[in-house]
Amino acid sequence: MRLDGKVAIVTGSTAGIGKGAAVLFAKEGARVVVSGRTVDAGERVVEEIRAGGGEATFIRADVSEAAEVQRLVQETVSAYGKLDVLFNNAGIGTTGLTADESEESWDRCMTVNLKSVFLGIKYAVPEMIRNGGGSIVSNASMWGVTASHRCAGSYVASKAAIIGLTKKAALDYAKQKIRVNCISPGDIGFVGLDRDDEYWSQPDIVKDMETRQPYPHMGTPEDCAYAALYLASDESAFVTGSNLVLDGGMTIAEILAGGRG
Amino acid sequence: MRLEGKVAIVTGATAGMGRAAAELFAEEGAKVVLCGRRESLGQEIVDVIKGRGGEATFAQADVARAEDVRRVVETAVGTYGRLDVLFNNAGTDSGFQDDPAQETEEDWDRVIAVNLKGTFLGMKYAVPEMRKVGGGSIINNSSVWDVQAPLSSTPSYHASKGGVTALTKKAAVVYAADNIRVNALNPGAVATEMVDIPWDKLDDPDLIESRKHLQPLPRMGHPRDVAYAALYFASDESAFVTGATLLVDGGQSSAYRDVV
Repeated sequence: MRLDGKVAIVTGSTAGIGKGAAVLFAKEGARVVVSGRTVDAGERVVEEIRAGGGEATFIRADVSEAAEVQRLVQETVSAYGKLDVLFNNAGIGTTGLTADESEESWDRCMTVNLKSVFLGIKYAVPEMIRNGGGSIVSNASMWGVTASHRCAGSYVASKAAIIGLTKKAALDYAKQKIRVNCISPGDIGFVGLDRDDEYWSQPDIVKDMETRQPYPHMGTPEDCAYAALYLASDESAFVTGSNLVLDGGMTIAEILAGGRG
Repeated sequence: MRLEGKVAIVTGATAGMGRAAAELFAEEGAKVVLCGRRESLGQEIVDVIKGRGGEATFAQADVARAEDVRRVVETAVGTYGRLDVLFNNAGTDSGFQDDPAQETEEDWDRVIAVNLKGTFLGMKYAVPEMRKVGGGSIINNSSVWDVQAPLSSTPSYHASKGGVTALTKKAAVVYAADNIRVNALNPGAVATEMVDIPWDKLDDPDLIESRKHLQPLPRMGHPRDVAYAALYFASDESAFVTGATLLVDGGQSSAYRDVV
């Protein structure tokens, strides 16, 4: 198993990409801390992992608060003895034109998407140094590589900043054998708090998603989970400061026919 | 196993990253066609793979020659019935590391022919076979020199690797509808014959130690590091990834030179 003996925190893992990663990391042998703000949903993910023979525990945390991220790391180490992998996945989306966004929306997005990654690195690094190394993976976005009409300025800016912060942290902690990388997903269909299986099975929704990018299939949380797994595991031992884009070719393609945006 | 049932071609498989990828792909269940110019060495590696219970065959080829590449693809389909994965890995370097205007035309032509035309030819003959089986994965080996330029590197090598990445993106967009994914790797300082580290010295601690200053991570890259990246792109685990470039460079290109 590819994460045998490792301890991993996945933030924002009560649903979507985070949940997919928590389940996969556990299947690959990691002891996983599922984290998020919704206790019921988090406990259900833990139950699912345990039912599959894996080991996991839920620790409630709001990643926008320094004290909560610090406690998340402390409680993880108390529970499992160390920290090897941190997947900074939690994030929110914002939409609209740049000048129309409220200051509150901007601040909230920067805090949840970007400051959370800083805080995660800040509190995980000392534990990883104690441990002789580790792997930090953050969830950026293809909208941090290229802009869209749909996403707000705060979303695009926060995600682009994660890619920059990833390089900086990779450089700072390379000597301590802590690798820092990010993934940049494109449009991913997932079952979240407000989007259920029924939503994603609507033919027009699927068709809309599948015509956004050159590759004719919608991305899934599992696609993102496998990218995070590669970067979390020792298979990527020489990879640090990298950004793995998984977007069905959307970033590199010229605008396709139709109303993409 | 992550490549169970798949047939893979690895070019430049008699040394370094190609050899590591061929061995790893076979361990993960693929039937592997190793391609290279050195026949006896290629046969030896095939024997190593078979000795471990894997399946492989060698096809001698110079990837700069269309006829050779066509024959490699024919060998894969003729021997194993299909083609799912192509790792365009073969590469060369003239060793001329100076003023771009001073490189000889012969050196330039040879490096571009192997590194860039070889990649084009691989795709040219692989794509029709991948279409027949409903899709596939092509991995092109570029270089960190696609995104950075040092004073001492070969001009043609630079140009060829930049071309490999651009061609990767073009092919990714065009073949997406055929379920053929095309991605590129950008390795940094990896221990290979190209930098005078033979296969049997790969784990020599002094050699690895002597080159740890080349990137932020305090060790040199091992061919197996690149092989694992290629495995990720080759397998269905990367089903949504196409047109991507992945730096496998120990943080080299993340760092400003003065602090490395």
